[in-house]
Amino acid sequence: MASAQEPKRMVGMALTVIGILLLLYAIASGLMNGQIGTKSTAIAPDVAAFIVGWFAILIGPALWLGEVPAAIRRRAGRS
Amino acid sequence: MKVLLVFIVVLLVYAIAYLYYGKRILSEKIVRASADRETPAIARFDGVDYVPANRYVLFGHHFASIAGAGPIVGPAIAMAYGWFLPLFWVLFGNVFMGAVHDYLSMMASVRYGGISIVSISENLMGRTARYLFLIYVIFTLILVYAAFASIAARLFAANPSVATISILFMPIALLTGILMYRLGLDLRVVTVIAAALVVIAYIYSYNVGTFFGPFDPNKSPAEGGWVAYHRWVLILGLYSILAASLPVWYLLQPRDYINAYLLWFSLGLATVSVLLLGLRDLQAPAYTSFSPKIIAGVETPFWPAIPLIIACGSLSGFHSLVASGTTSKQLASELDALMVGYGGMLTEGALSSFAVIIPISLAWQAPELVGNVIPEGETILKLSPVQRYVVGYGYTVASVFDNVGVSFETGYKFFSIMAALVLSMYILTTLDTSTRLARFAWQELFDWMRRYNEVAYTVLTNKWIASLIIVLAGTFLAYPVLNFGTPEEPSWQAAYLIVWPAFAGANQMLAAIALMTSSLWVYMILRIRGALSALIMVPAVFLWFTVTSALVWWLWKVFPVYQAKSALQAYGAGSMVFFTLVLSLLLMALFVVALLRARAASS
Repeated sequence: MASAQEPKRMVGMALTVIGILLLLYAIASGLMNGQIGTKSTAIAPDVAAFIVGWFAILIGPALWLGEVPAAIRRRAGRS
Repeated sequence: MKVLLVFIVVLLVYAIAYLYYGKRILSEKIVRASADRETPAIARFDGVDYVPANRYVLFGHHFASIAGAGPIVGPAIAMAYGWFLPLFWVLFGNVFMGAVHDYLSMMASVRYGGISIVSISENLMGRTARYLFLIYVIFTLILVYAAFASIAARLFAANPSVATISILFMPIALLTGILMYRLGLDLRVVTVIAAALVVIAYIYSYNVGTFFGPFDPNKSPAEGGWVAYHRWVLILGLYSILAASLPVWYLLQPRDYINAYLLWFSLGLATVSVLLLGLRDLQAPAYTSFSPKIIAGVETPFWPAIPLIIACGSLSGFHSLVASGTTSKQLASELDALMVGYGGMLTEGALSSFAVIIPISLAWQAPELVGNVIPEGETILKLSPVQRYVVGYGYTVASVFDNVGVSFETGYKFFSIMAALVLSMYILTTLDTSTRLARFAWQELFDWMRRYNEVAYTVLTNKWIASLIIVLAGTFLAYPVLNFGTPEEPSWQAAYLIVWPAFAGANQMLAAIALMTSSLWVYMILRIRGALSALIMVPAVFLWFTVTSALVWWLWKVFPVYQAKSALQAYGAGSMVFFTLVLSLLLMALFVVALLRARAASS
């Protein structure tokens, strides 16, 4: 069972790391330029990183640390 | 009228309502809530939707989900009646209908194993009522999704700072959840860390906006005026599918816990400011007219039309879906329902009273605002409803800070932007909660299929597929931008607005039906009789009669106005009002039959 979960955890960990890096890049770019993205039709790399990083952060930890935390199990009376 | 007098009256009403009506009557005498009875969060724990939560965390989720823009926009519009009638409706509706409706929907759901108020109707009014109710609810929730996706996309496109803070808020919420549940840190420590990160994110977002292409609502989509809007609609769709399918402990609980602190901070600031300005007089008139021109420029009588104007601050059907949808599945103890359900609704009323009605009444025609924010010779009513709230809030808090050395201009700018940002945070919560609730209703709608085709049932009710169907339907209404004006004078708006004018009626009818279902539960299952039973049933029937009358009034007076302006909107909204009216009559008939049967059985 643990080995079946392993690839999922690895993908989750990779997504989390990629998400954090992309978000940091977008935040730093925003600090330097005073804004993230542009008003032109083309999608700027920093805004793309901001959005993709956001989704990676939303999904990544769920896959990586996916199972229900022990603290919540205990509250529900489950071991 | 002195502000202090109104403040004391409002506070007394809420204190008496909570301690006497909520605790003594509803919780102890009618429902007989007990800590010994296992809740569905424990009995049916699944780690995804059924997860027990700390009551303060759950209060945050429940409040953030039910709040949205409703308790702000409705009372701000109703200020056209003067301040007395909106305040009266907020207090009366809140205590006797709204909070009762939320609390009983939650407790009925808890006693039925966490199923929605819709499915409870089957046990009380039969199978027909249940499926009619479910179809109606899914339709209403898709409309809520479309409206909030469109409002959020437009807000992000027009206010890049709001987009930045909204995105940064989610990783902070995830981190809060990990610190709270995974690492087991003390809740107070987690709260301090989360608050510090939110402040940093706020300062960053205040200075760095997120731009996602051009946005000019005066241009057509073909001219490229809606590029950013369309991109945000698609991104929010993807976000909603994810957020509505992920386990509640992972994102929803921690995010709404932080949201609650934002609420307490903004509400506390408004309340303290109102108190400190207590010796001032309310500048708005107490009463203007019983029928000022409000809905579609038509003379709008306070009764029966008021539920079409003020929803969440007083009562709202959407709340019964949250209370019996996500909240009832996370309640760790029956005793927590009083604070979360009844208290959550009273807090909404307090928000409407202290952060909207009184501040707008103070800023009514303030000399500091006339000439720059409010046009010369006009009152605050000249502004849009959201602007009335933002200006009223900013004015009230800035007036206090002005007395301690912060210039009015600086304070006003800072606090009015803060008011807008706080409002935007609730929109995202409502967006993914409505998707999750629609998913629940969708899954319940197809439960009959399980007996005939297990595979088809499993596929159709899979949480990802169900969320996808709801989001696709909502996006279908939110994405297209149509011309609601003429070719000479175009007015570009999202397509959902075709049916949106009817939403208020649909939502309030939902409240009436949910309250009637709850009153049947009290009468038939809890076997409460006499005055206590009447205390629930009389407001339920009064609400049904008021909303039905309001819908008839809408078809009679408002429909012709829309017909002259836009046939598309008239027939789109008109057919929905008509459908709501037919459904309400059918459900009322089922309610009466069920009640008569119950009376015959008990005599």
